[in-house]
Amino acid sequence: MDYINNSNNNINGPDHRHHHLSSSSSSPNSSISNNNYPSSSSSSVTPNNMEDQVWNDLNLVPLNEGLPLNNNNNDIGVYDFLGRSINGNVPRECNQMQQQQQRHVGPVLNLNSSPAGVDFLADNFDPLVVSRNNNTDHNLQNLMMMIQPNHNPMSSVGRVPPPPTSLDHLQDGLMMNNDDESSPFQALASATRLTTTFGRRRLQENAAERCHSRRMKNRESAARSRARREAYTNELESELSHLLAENAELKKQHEQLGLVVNAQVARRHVRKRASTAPF
Amino acid sequence: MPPRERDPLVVGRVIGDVLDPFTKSVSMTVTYNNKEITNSCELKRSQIANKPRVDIGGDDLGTFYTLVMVDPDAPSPSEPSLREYLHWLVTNIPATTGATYGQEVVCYESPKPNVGIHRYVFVLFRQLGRQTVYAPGWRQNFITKDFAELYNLGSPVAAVYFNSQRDNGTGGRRLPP
Repeated sequence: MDYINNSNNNINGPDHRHHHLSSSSSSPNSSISNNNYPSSSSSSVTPNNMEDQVWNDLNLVPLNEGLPLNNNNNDIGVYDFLGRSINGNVPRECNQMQQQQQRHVGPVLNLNSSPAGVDFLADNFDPLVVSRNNNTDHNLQNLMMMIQPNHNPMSSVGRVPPPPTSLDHLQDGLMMNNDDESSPFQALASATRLTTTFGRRRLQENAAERCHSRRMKNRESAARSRARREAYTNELESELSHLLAENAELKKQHEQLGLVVNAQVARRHVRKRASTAPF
Repeated sequence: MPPRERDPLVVGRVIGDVLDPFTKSVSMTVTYNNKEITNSCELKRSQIANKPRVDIGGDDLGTFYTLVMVDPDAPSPSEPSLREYLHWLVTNIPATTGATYGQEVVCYESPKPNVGIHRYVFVLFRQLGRQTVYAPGWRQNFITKDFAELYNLGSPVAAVYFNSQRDNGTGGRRLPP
């Protein structure tokens, strides 16, 4: 009868976790941000935590967080992995982010609204031309095929080898306009970022949802466990007090009955003596 | 009588998931293999394979009671899509006697908790008179509250519950498909 028997080891502990989790649930549109995960110094070592840390390393800046879009009309701003705009616009916030060790600033690309970003990666497109064609889906499919889906949480997205075909164009495009970044390495890295953004975000969102729902389920399970234990304790306590009261009552009755019996015994003695008296 | 917040039926969410708050007025003792169950105690599947002995109180042999046994955590406590699963239904139990003196409308089905730790709840209702109760078409998704309303049983007069799980552990977390 083990009431501490809890198949889920993640018993909900300190409140800071609650706080962070509730803050994440209140902003469902943002993907994972840094402060929603326990730091690596957390004491409970469970698979959940490890995975959390890995995702921490991998996290992308969500779509509109802190990075304003390109000032030029409706074009999207394209940012390399250091957070500096390839088009020459340098948002203030990016500088702060560069200093954060584990945070990669992904490019701000809107999956739905702009074919331009996707066209970067198709063949024969000048990367900076905003294309009007409606072939977004086709481009997306190309993208998805090129992306290697990561089921292994340990593999960092940065290590996904970039597809060769789109790189050249992208590299050229980037080299052309990027005065700050002149090394091919950085262009390569940016290309990698761009090519894997869409798929990675989807995978990441799915994983985030799964993590979130699993955490919720675990929380509920822990709550049920606590309720079970508390109910049992309350039951035992109430039974105990009931039994103690009954015991006291019975003892009192026993004592009273004892007195009655003694009294009767005493009377019998008296009667005995009385019956032999006349002789 | 413990204050409402400490009542094991409330803490264990039996009042909430299965029943509304009520006042206990009749004694009921459920015994599996000479072991009387107390709220939130844990029993093994092997211990609950056969129907328990149920003794009820009351005073007037002319009063009849209905006993319901349900599992609100079917098929699993985190996904109780079959809440509540009816395990046993006995009606027309005369006061001061036991379940064996009543009519078994739905026969006792051995609980087989598979995933998670399930609660099994016994509820006793006082009938207005001797009555005919019809078995539901199926055991799952039996709503005790609705059943009581349908047969004018009013509020429960007694309830008790226990927990049970698989013998080799709770079946743990299933990986997503």
